[in-house]
Amino acid sequence: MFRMRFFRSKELAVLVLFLGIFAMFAVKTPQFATPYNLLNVARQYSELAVVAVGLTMVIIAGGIDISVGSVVGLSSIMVGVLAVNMHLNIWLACFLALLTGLACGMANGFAITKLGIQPIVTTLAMMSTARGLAYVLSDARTISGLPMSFTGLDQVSVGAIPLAVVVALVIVVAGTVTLRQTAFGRSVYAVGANEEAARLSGTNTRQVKMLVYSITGILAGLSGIMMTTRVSCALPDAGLGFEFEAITAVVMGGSSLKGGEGNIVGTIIGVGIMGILRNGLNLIGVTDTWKVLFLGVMLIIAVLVDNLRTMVGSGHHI
Amino acid sequence: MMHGTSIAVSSLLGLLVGMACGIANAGLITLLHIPPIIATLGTMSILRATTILYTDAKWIGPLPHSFAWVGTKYTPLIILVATTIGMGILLSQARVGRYVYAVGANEEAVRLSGINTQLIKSIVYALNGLLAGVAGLILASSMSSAQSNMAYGYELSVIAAVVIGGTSISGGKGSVLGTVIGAAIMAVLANALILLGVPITWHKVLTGIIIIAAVLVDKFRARHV
Amino acid sequence: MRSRRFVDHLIALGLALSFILLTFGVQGCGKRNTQEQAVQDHVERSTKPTRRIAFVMKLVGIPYTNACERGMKQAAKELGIEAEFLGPNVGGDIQQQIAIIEDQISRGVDAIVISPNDSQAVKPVIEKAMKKGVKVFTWDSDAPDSKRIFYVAGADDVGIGVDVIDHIAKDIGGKGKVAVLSGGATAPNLNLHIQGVEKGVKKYPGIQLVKPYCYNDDDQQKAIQQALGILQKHPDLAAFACMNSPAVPGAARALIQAGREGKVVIWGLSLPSENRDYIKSGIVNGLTLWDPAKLTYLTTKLVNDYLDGKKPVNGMEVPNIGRLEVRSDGTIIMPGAVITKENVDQFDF
Repeated sequence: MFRMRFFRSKELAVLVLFLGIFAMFAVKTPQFATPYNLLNVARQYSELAVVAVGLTMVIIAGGIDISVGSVVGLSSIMVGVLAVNMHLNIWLACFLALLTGLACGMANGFAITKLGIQPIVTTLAMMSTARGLAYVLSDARTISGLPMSFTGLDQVSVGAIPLAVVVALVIVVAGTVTLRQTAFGRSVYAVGANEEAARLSGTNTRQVKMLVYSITGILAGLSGIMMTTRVSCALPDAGLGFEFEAITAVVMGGSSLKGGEGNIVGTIIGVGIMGILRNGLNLIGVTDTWKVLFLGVMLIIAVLVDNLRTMVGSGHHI
Repeated sequence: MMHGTSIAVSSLLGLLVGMACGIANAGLITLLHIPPIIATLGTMSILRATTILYTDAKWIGPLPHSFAWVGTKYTPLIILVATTIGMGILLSQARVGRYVYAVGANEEAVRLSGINTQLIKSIVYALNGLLAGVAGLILASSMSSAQSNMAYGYELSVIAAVVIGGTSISGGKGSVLGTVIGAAIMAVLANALILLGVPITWHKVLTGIIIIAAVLVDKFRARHV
Repeated sequence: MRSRRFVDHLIALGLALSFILLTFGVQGCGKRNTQEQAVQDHVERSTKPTRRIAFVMKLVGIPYTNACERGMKQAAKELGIEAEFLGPNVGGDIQQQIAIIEDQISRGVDAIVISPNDSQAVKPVIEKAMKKGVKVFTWDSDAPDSKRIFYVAGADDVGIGVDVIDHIAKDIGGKGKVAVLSGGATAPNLNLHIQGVEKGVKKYPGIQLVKPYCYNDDDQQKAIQQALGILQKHPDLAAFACMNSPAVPGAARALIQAGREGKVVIWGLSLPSENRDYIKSGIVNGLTLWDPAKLTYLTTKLVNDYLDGKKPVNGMEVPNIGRLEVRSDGTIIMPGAVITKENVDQFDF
């Protein structure tokens, strides 16, 4: 029964797109389809994938969060400031960085649910504030001098797979299971599809929304820590541009911005498309600018496809 | 201008291109039913990339001296005042303006009462594109060169100014004057930091706080009116 | 339901197809140097693989980086090798830079030459490249305690800062307030220039450096705004010390907008081609710089020589360039220039 659902789903369409692009690059350049290169791409996009999982939940619940990138940066700087400047134990610093992410997420959730401020405005303000704090705390410089036990994590692999990729996979699986199997997951969909109806049928919509933003905050924190191991220093610009990339991945992966629809697998395929697109173009020798162009076009086409499907499926005009 | 046309004609073409982009956005949003935030995120990438590719990432300049007046001394301020008055009158007095507010407040109701909401939205986006073109001309003139990487990140400052100025993101409420005040606050903030000797790094933090404060003030006033 | 599934697949396939076509088209006009394409095609027909060098700059799209690219292409043409000029579109973006470098490693280029946005964050990826057999060098801006083989500079990074403040001191009579305008806050070369300014200013007790310094991230508009702000705060400002190329015209335009041209001294590191009018009219007092095209040309040749087994030697003479100073820490310095009203027309960069 699961297989039947899969073949009818949007995810297959995105998967086909992914495979198409993959095949094309594999044919065009020999260095593309090598394990070294592909694992590299997976590693490069692990941080984004982790953030995208959280963002998928937020969008399914009918909200949006453009502050994720900035929270990643703040988390990275927290690791640096706490571990280097204040000489705390590195693992304690990481834990506190996660808490910082959680705090930002909760602040977002609070402003949206209790103060009633629109998600886009709230997260816009958080985006500015978090990034600004990252700059202030670090004086806009990177902080190096992190202990080897921490920075060495970047070299650790489980078999042939880098640790960061494993972490990302674990988060993806956890997120998917949560959304599909738990009551909480179902309530996320319900709130996104029709918040009023969900509320009337007894769901604590405020709590659900609070939770998704908080989860996104923690995941952004985790992503910041991962980024820090990759560059062996705390980076105030960590996560720059993540919000745009993550939203693109989520929408390409089939989630609707109106809420109530979508899933994490689709999002991750979307992240995969972005990864191999950039990587493939670089390997061919085409500049990054084309990638930006393609992403814009693909984003629009992805939504168009979705609209078309709804039209064809239901037989009348939207 | 690269191809030898006069600067006046080029400027006009630039404005038309701006308007065309606005209309394109409108088309995506009204005809193809793409949510505005995605449509414009998409066109943002496409336009930025196209500009960079078209100019091969090189700056075009120096621009002719005859063009310099657009961006220097008081001209930008005059343009701003004229635009504010013009758009302000359009929004508050003209029928089109009232329709704009109505569409924002309740699009379905407006559509059902027979008004062409697609046209209203298209006009709004087209005007938006045109004004962006004007801003581009002012920027280019002030730096005497056309740069493909200028105005990075402006979208968020602009949205911040609009929100601070009292416009509601859910639509139906706001004013041109409010936005101008919002923009003024943002400009004063940046300037004040330098004057007070506060490191520039605080700019972003304060911007975020001001946005939240402005929205909260607005809500407070709405509740207690 | 069936029709829906069919439409899905059809659209996805159509998307993939159009994408493939797009990329083929793009590859045709995306490759910026058809010369290199011709070289590559020719070489692929013979048996020896072309040497490939990738330059990863702090950013692309400002006159300084365009000049660098010209120098690189010239050298590549003369040497018959393939060279690419890459970099992020946004100033200061170290993440994008690292991603570009990693992809070049995957691509299997022979050498990567970097001007890093941050000297610390780039260390791991340099090490990764060297481990994989890709030789890494730096130019324009260094990562001193990384595994890079050598660093080619247009000047002593600290010394040039000292030069700037020396020139300023001469023009303002040794006393007054001086504001520092710089680019990315984490850019290693720029911070060394600032160090030079701070070191040199100790000789002039009458000169006071305005704090905090301004960082424009290589954005021309920001440079102008920041300069205007400084002028407002310090109406008695004597001079601007400009560390990156957009800062000089930025300061000049700020002076024009504020109606203070000629009243404030401007010295800095910028291209004569960007500032010719300002220098001639006296708004900008002078520039200290090197020819970025020559610098990149030299770097390309030195890297190519190294890959052939020839290491750079202190005091070596390079045609068209001059005498090179080679230090034990791997720093290689090319002679630079001081550009003023008198000689500005001699320079074409």
